[in-house]
Amino acid sequence: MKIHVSGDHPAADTLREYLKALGYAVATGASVPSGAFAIRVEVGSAANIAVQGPRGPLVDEALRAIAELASIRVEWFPSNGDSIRTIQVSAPEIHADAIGRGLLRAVLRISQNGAAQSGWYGFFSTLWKRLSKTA
Amino acid sequence: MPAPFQISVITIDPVSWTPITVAFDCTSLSVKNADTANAVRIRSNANDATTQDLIAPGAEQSLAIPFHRYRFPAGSQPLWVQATAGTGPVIVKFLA
Repeated sequence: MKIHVSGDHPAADTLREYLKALGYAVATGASVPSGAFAIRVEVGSAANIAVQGPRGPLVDEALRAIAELASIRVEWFPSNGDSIRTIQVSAPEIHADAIGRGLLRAVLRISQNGAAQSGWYGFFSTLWKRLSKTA
Repeated sequence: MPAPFQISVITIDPVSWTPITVAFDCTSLSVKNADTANAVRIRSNANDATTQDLIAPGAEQSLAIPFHRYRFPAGSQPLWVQATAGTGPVIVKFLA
C-alpha cells in the first residue's frame, strides 16, 4: 500500500515517520504515484480542523479518529473530482499530534493493519513472525 | 453522576501511548482487549518500560481497590495503552 504524504504542517512529518516505522511505503515527491493514497496536511488559520475530500473509507475513518483525539471541532468539506483515496486536512499547528495520530489510525484501519489472516497464509505468516522474534 | 458504572471504547495505535482517564471516582476498573488478533501493551507510566504488561487478544485485566477510602480519582490516568498492531480498541469499564 503506497501513501503519498505532503504539506507544510508538522503533522505531515509526524505521519511520515509513523508510517515508515510501521513499514508502509511512503512517497513524498511532487506527483502522487498511481494507485496511492494521497494525504495532504496544511497549516490553516481557522480555529477548527478542516477535513476536505470525497466521502469514502479514508475520509470517514480520518474524521472519526481525529475527532476522538482533538479538543476542537472537526469539520468536513466536500471535494469535487478527487478520488476517494485523497484527503486534505488543514488546521493550526497546535493540533499536530491529534491530526498525525488520527490520520495514522485511519490508514491502519483502511489497510487492515494487524487484522487476523486466515488459512495457511495466516498460519505461516504468524509462525514466521514468532520465529523472527526469537531468532 | 447518572450511574456508578460506565463503559468506554477507546481506540489505540501502535506508535503512541493512549491514557485511560478515570471518568469518576471509582474503586474498580477493567481493561478488555477487544482486538482478537493482537496483544495490547499497558503501562502504569508511559515513559517507563519497567511498568509494562501485556493483555492477550480478547483478554481482560481488572484492577480493584478493596479499601473504600482509596479510589482511582476522577481525571487521573492510572494506565496507558498501546497496540502491538492495528487500532484496538480497548474497552474500559469504570465502577464507582
